[in-house]
Amino acid sequence: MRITSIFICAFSLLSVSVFSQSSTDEKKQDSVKWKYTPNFTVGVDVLNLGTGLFSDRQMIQGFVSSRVSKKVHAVIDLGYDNNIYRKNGYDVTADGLFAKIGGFYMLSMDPENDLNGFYAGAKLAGSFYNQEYKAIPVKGINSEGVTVAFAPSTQSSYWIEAALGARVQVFNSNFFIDVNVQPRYLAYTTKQEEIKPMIVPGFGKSSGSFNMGFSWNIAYKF
Amino acid sequence: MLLTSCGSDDDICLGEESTPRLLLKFRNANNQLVRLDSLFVDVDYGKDTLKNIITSVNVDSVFVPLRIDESPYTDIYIRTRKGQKGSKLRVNYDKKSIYVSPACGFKINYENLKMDLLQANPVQSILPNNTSLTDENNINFYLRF
Repeated sequence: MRITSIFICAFSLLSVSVFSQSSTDEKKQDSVKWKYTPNFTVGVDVLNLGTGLFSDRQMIQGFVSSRVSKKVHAVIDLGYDNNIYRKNGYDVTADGLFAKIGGFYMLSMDPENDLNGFYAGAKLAGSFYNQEYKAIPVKGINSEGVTVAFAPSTQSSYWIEAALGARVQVFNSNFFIDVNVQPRYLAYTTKQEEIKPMIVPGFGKSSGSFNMGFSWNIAYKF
Repeated sequence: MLLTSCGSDDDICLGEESTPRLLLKFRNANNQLVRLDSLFVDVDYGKDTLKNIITSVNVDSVFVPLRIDESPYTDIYIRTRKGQKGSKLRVNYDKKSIYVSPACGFKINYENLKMDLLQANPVQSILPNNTSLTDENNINFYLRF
């Protein structure tokens, strides 16, 4: 958690400094009129795909983005997440699909390649999933290990998330590396028996409303 | 950004909303509230041995945590002298699971509390007072010595 926070802090400072340096270049580029032609970039999150091999959480996610104006890209994310929470007397499983829709704005662009640069954006996200509370602890003095269980159910959760990231073209190919962090806030969730979900597919651990996602994508531009 | 660091990795239940304990007070033969000069209370939680709840002198009340498992009753053993055989009390109840929070999980509330004196001496009789146990503010039973 601490490492993540340090990283985000450094990342924010970096993106701000890069932004201020490039502001003089923007005027030059603005004079050239940018025109929309159909374009799509498709990416797959290889970081979470890889960590799924070694952890309890298997997450596959990818995105499709399209540059809609000179500095604005629209983006849709789709994914599947299968996760367990087995801690402090809990035994919970959840798996399901999630989708995010939003856009991002290029904060700073490489003067020589305007697809490279740092960006910030926002997304609305929703997840539709099956969950099963196999055990939820019951707290009482002198009695340990007592739990209650509930039948599997279908639930949904909705959240908003910000995206801060960078996109870099791999040499002169159509491949890009897209790295971003997603601070997110759980806005609404359906509940089984008023129980707050411990994990939400696509969102992660949800006992607190805030969470942070991190993804490292390989993308291809068509 | 800073808000994300507020989410801790471990959810700690601070215990302010745990299962409430049964509250017992004592009366003498003349029905007056009394302090006991010594008291030993043991409870059967379904384990191999009884759990000692209190061994104390000069007490006017005792909080007894009840069982939260499937058992429909909790057996309580009360002595006023060491080595005494003591009294056996059985509390029957209906349990209700109440969701508290992610960190604390569930707690139990008890309804229709009923206490039977299975073995007398030193306890002579039981006076019910509040047969619902949802917090620790009410006296549930008076034990008459």
